[in-house]
Amino acid sequence: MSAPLIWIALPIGLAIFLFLLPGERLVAWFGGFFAAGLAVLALFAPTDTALRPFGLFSLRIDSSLSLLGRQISLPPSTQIVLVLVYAIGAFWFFGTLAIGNARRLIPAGLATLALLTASLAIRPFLYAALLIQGAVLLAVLMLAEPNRPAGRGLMRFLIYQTLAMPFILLAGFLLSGVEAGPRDLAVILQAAILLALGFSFLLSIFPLSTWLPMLAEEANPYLVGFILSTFPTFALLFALNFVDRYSWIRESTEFFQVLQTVGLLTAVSGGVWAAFQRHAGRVFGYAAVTEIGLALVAVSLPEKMIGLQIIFFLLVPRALAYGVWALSLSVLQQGAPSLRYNDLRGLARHYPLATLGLFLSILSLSGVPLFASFPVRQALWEQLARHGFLPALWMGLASLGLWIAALRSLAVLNLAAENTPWALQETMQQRALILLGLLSLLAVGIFPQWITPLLTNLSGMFEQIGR
Amino acid sequence: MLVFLTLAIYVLAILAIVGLRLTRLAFSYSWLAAALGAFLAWLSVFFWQMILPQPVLTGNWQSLSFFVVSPALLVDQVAWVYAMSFSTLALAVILMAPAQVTGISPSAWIGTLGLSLLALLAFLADNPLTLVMVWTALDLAELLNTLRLSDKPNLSERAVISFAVRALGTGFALWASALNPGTSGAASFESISPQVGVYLLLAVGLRLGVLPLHLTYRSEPALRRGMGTVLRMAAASSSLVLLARIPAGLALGGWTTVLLGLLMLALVYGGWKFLTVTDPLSARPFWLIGLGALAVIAALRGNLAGSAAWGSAMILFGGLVFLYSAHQRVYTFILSGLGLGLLALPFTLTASAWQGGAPLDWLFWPAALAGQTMLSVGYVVHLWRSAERELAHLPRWAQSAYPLGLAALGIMIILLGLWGWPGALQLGVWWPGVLVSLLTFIALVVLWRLSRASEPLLVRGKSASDESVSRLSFFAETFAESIWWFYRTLRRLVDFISGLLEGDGGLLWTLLVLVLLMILFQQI
Repeated sequence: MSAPLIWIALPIGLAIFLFLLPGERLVAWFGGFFAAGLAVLALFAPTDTALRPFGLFSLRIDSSLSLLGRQISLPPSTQIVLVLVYAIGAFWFFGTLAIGNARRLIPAGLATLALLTASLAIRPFLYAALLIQGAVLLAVLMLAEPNRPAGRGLMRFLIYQTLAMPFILLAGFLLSGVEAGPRDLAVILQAAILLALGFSFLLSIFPLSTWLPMLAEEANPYLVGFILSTFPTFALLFALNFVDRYSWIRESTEFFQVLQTVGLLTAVSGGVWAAFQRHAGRVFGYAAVTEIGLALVAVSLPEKMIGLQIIFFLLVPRALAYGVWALSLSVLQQGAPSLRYNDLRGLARHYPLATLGLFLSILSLSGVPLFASFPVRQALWEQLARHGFLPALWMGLASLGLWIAALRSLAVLNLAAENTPWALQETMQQRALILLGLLSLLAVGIFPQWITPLLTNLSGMFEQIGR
Repeated sequence: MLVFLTLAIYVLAILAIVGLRLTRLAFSYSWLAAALGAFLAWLSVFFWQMILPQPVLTGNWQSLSFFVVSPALLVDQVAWVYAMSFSTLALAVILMAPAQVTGISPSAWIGTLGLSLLALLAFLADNPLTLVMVWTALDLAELLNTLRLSDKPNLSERAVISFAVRALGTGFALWASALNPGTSGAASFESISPQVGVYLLLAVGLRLGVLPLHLTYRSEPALRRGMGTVLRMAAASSSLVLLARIPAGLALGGWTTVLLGLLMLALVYGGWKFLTVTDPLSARPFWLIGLGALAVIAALRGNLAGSAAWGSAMILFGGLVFLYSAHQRVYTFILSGLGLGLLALPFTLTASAWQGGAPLDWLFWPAALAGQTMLSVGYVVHLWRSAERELAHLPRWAQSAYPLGLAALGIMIILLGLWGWPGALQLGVWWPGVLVSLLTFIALVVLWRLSRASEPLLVRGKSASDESVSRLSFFAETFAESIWWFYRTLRRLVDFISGLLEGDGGLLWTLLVLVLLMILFQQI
């Protein structure tokens, strides 16, 4: 048995099966348990390692598979990614039990996760761009509303993500002869410009991030949440592969300076824009922009290993916060014609837990103490402050913007008419899932060391950066 | 272990009350469990003296290299004096609960015990990281409780604004922590540099409402007398404890005078309002502002014991004046006598209040003494106001428990003047105490004569006080309006840029911005 078959081919196969399966709940249970199973398997059965389950028989999962002359490899160092990806997938899939949309999310979502995993596994890794593009197309299928024309946000998502591919492929083609060092500066310069353009589109850095709030405004918040928690992450991992591969990128101080500036600009644009929105969905989109910016800032830190750890650590609180946020938005959407603030006024009286979920998840993402993002955000802030007052100030501004957005959301949701009684309208499942999410946000915020075991193998995944 | 025992007692008491509620047993059992828990916790805090000072807990966040600081708890004399004061308040609140007109409420007792637990954690915090976590927990508890009780939209809005201001204070503490020089970060309060200490001072000032002077809760939902007092005291005292930990020799440059001026303004305003507002519970925010200002002034002068003394006085005297709802003449006399402890006289709780390395400019002394006098006079005046009910009208068991609550607070005021921490048994700077005593005495005599002669002055003063509240609120509203105007202007700009980037020609605009950015980056 080989790892690519288990973590790539099998999910694609199951996705097709789930696509044909009738019944929302059946799909949700199947998809959730399957993704959770893959995460557990990745955790307890690292590839290329002989195992004896219960001492009964010997089992070894090969890390590699050859397909059409290309190598697809999931070495033990990718264990953390496999665990995180499928755990996050399970988390989103189980959520559909409470808010529906399982048939739209799970088959396409599972296949998307498989393709994105393949993008990390394929060698030469340049082909990852094609796999990411395939995942984008699947995501478009997932997001498009049946019997309705595609919205502008969706079109822009498709255009921007698609534009990234030719730039990256062309850069890869130019770089194929100069991987070892800067022998041909002119070619490297051309390749660098193409790469910069390609990754600007793929990572949705400012000002190419407009699709995020537009999509979050028009599409189902839960589906958007899934997209926001997967695509930027894989785009970043793909970018990190480039940094790890080419020494001229890795050793360029200017590159990291520019990256820090771009990251801060993206983070601040997301935070500040979030503070001025009048649509709860758009705030979600801008929060994702801030998260992308902060991840870039982490990459730019002079202590590369610390930067890597921060990037991977950020994945967990981000996924939790996005999950609670998307779930809360979906619940609120059931009680309002739209997610515009005018329509959400006073809904806290009928959806108190969804209000709490929305408020606390934004607070968490803005790095407020006690919540999941706080420890790692504070660590990133301290690291930045060590290298300059201004970058730290900018990062503070980005967090402040999100924090203002959280307070505005809470204020609007509580603007009920005088003497409106409290009446809980969330279902038991919705309440249970939101509460579970909030408890997880608190647990990770107070005991961040629980995530430490996931971060031990990072240097194996990015050998050069990790040195 | 002792510290954890105290915390565990609070947790067990809360669980016991929850369990008793689920089994639908009579409320008296819940009250008994709450009272027993509060008493045992209070008793256990006494024994902390045996282990002072001692690190209690160091978290292990540092298993990851990028976490420079972990949460840590330390029990020392400052933590002890605050913990002693607060656990006494919690005990008093529960013992006196049956006497409150708001009636019996196990959920309020759970709240009281839970808030006491959080407050104790704040007092024990050994670094800003731990403290900000507890602050956030307290702020969220207050916010959610207020939102739950508020039945008017403007009250909900006030709750959010109050939370925002406090959280902004928390942000300053985080900023101080991030900027603290050195590779080990702000691992403990001792490692905080005087350069960033000013941010901590601002954090406390903002959270207390004294720097700058602001009053977020002009009106509030009907919080219970006991639970409401604990809630307000927990938020204020958990902020004040930081003052006793700020490094000496704050690098303030020429700002000391300005800050002192602002603090004096807050003190005089708080003192005057506390004295003139007729209802003790409505006067509660002004008590916190006045005592908070006194504590910050002490810290600014490098008198850390003095700031702890004011913090402790705020809790204990505040407890007496705000919980004293069922009156009896003899008790009122005794409690008024205890007011001597507020005057900064030698060998009292506040004896160390005016000590300090940095001298106070003579210009500020009149304001400082006037503020303290008004708070002291206000304390006595509020004790003599008409009661919610007479003690004799309470059930017999409540008549027994109620004085015990008052006694706990009174005894603690006397005890902390004599034992257990660096501010105890101090002669202090005696002359401000004597002056304040004289002024207080004269003011009380004048008020007493006037109240006998005609309509009480402080009732007539109501309209004047309302006017000054409205004046402050006018300034606050004007300030808020100007911020709102700025916000709306920025929002128009943001909407305009969003419109450009997201509109039909958005892609072209985006590419233009991208090209401009690339040209900019070429210069790096």
